[in-house]
Amino acid sequence: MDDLFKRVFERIVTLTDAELRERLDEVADHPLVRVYQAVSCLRGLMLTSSVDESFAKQDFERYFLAQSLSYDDILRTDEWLAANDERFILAA
Amino acid sequence: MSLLASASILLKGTHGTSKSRAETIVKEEKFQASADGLLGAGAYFWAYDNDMSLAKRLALNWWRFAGGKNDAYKGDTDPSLAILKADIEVDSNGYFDASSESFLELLIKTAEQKKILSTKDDFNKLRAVLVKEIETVQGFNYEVVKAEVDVPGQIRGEAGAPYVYWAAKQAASYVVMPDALDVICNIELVEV
Repeated sequence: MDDLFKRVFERIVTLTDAELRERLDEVADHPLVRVYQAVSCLRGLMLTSSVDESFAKQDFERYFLAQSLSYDDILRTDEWLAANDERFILAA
Repeated sequence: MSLLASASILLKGTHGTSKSRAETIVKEEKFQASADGLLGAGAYFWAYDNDMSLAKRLALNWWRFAGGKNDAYKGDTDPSLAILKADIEVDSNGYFDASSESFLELLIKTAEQKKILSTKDDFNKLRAVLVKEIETVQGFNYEVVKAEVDVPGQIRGEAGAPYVYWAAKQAASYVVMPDALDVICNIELVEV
């Protein structure tokens, strides 16, 4: 398996940026992409705090006040929120 | 996951959906490919091994998310919750574990090398590009891919059982490819 992955890595890293862009665009509807997008969207919805009975405040708090999150995590989240404004508008 | 014979793997999963859709699936004994759903074509399951209690909670959360926020079950005769369990019998060559350490190492190394820095969307697409490239190199396609995804929202009953959250911030799912839906069998409704 290691050899296989090595071959795959070499094939992908030799692609030009344009070729890689084409490959990325081609898989937009791949089920593996869609499942991760759906979950990202879910988290985005919570981050918008557009709260309703299903995604209540406690969901929000759970993600932001969880003990596993450091202050750095929160700062990074703020940066990420700012950089992805457009997505949150769509999600909301 | 268990080995059936030398070349087969048996996987087990749950699937949250509306009652009317679940009844159709059970009646027809199969999942139908549909490109217009929330997740597009393919079928998706929360993985379990022996005890499906967590996988049932995850199925419920998915139903809440899909139905509540995305109107996925709008127009269904009965949009209320149903949970299905199913077996997935797949040839070992048709199964790929995208949550394995070696694949994650490949994914991160490639992202680093190709500077996939702009969006998480591109990172997600890179994962699929790599899987497709592995298929090309090997000369066959995967029917089922295992993926670790974020747990959808707060899990039911979690307040009384926080260890569920501590134990499972991410959960394993099986993604069955649209042209391989016949690997899904023994579909049954489970008690909600």
